[in-house]
Amino acid sequence: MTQQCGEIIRLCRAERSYFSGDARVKALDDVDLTITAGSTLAIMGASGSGKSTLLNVIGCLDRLTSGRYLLNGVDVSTLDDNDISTLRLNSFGFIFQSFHLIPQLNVLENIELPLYYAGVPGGAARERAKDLAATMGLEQRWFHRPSQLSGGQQQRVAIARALANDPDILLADEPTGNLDSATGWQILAVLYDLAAGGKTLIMVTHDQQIAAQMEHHLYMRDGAVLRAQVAQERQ
Amino acid sequence: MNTKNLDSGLSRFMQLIFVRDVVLGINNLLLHGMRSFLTILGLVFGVASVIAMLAVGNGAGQEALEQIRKLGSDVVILNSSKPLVAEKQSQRKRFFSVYGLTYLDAQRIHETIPALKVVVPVKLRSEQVYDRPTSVGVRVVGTTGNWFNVVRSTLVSGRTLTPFDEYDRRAVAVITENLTRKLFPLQSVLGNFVRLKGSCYKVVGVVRISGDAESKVESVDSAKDVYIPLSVMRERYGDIVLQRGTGSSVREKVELSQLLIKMNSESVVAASGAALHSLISRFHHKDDVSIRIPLQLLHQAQKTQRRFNIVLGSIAAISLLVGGIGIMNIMLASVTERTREIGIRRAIGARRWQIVTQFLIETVVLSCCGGLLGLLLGLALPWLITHFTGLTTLVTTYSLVLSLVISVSVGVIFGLYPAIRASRLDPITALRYE
Ligand SMILES: Nc1ncnc2c1ncn2[C@@H]1O[C@H](COP(=O)(O)OP(=O)(O)O)[C@@H](O)[C@H]1O
Ligand SMILES: [Mg+2]
Repeated sequence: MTQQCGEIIRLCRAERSYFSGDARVKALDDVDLTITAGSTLAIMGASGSGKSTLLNVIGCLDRLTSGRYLLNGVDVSTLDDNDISTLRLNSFGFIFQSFHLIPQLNVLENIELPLYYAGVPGGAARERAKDLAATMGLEQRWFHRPSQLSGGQQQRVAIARALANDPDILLADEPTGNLDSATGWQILAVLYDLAAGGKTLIMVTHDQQIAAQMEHHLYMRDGAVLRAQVAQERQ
Repeated sequence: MNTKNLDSGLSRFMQLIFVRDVVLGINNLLLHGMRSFLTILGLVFGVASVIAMLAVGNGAGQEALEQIRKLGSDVVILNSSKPLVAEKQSQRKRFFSVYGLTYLDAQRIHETIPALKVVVPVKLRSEQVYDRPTSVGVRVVGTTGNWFNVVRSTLVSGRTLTPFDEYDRRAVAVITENLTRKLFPLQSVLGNFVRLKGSCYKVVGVVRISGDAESKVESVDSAKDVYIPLSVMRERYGDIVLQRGTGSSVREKVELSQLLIKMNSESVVAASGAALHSLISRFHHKDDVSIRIPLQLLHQAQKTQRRFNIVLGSIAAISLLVGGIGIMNIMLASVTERTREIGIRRAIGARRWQIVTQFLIETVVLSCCGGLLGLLLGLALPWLITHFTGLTTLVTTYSLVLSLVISVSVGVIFGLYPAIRASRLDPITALRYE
């Protein structure tokens, strides 16, 4: 596609404020950011520095209070809720720290969920879910509930679900935060593989070692970008 | 192209609804089995009461209609009735009081009223049959053969009255089956004689007045009848009746007791009724003839029935409302409980209407379960009512369909608010909800 080397995400003077009573908290404060298609970005910073907020804004889960967010050149603020939902469905894959699987649904059903919302017929959705489960090494766990799985397995289900509609951009908010380091590295290996396969990967992490594998780095403090760093190897 | 889009959109929608959300809905209900059961209890009783009330109402209505229908809906009945006003004065002046229908009336009606099938003149007299040590009270009916066509009757044996009986003034009689059992328990009936007031009548036929066999209450009038030709009755009884009162006796001249008029069809009954009314009032100033139109009684009964249904319906509607509110309450609780799930679904890309649909279907599944249980209970209740009180009840398919429609509507109406509320949750807030 044309965006392969072009910019896919652009934030201009992005601001997101929360109001709690009279106090106004700027979770994002004057953030400028450009992300090219197929690149990888690590967002780092102390707790409460606005990393998750930034990721949510990028993933269209949250809206800016001021500033502009262009996704593929389209100003997201002009879209209605239905269009935004469609973007989340087709363009973004979310991976959360606490997995966020639906407890009543089994592995396949969880993976099928985005497919159903996209209107994929039942049989085709089931096939695709099985394929995805297989690539994530979950062949034996089709009908397990999330509560019957280990943390690593749950995160694999979440990744499979994120990949269901083959999105261009993967957003991971501390994906290994709830996992032991060995399992964490396995999950990261999966994510790096996907990035190598051409997906844009944006990941929030505390870990320098993890971030070292990513091309671009963004350090945040109090909602503002402290330092942006571009990795050497691809320059 | 537009229709094609719409079409595929619709099929997607159907597919989304029917397979997944229904299963999911049932699963969620089973997850909280007891809670779900208690929730739908209100609706169960609501639906059951709708069906039971309609069954009782319909049963009562049916009974009334049956009684009226027995008279015939295309029949108008004229009765001679003793006038109440100005009776005392005329009695002194005249030798006897004259009132009621006359042979001339029958003639006039026959000639002037259109769309008329037959006019049956009837003379009635109460009499005793002194055939046995104990006497039997009977009703002597002087009439023509047409009587048996107008009043629903079945011929058990022999024949009914013929025009020849009338012209030749034959002393023949047709009697009711019930009377046969009383008078001739052992002998053969046909060819035997009935003795009335010194005259003998040869029995030529036995009839059963329809409804008699089934009806639990034995109606004396219709059950013990002796039908003789009108000409014979006129000849042997005359038109003057001696009414014995307390201390005095009153003579009355009544030519005909009753005129049964059968119309061509039900549709002309109302118009003919009006025509009869004006005809009668022109020649009878004393208000000595009453007109009964069973069809109008039927309409009256239907009107009453409708009113009854409205009252019952309102009561049922209130109980359904209460049931619906219970369901809404639980669904609101469910939405709150599942805030995180809603957040996850929205984060994945679910549109608002897809969330609405999911919760709506869940509510409809819930309310339909209630509806089905209510339906079973609603079928059992009328049966129990009939069993214990003997009231006639009638469960119509209409009421069953209605109850299911109601349950679905209750689900949709009371599920809409919780579902919309769920869809309006902010995804981020919902995701963070503990
Ligand atoms: N819904 C909210 N209401 C009020 N304040 C919020 C809300 N979400 C985030 N914040 C505030 O915004 C800031 C950034 O939060 P967040 O992006 O979650 O930080 P991080 O992910 O870097 O730990 C924090 O100070 C937090 O308290
Ligand atoms: Mg965070």
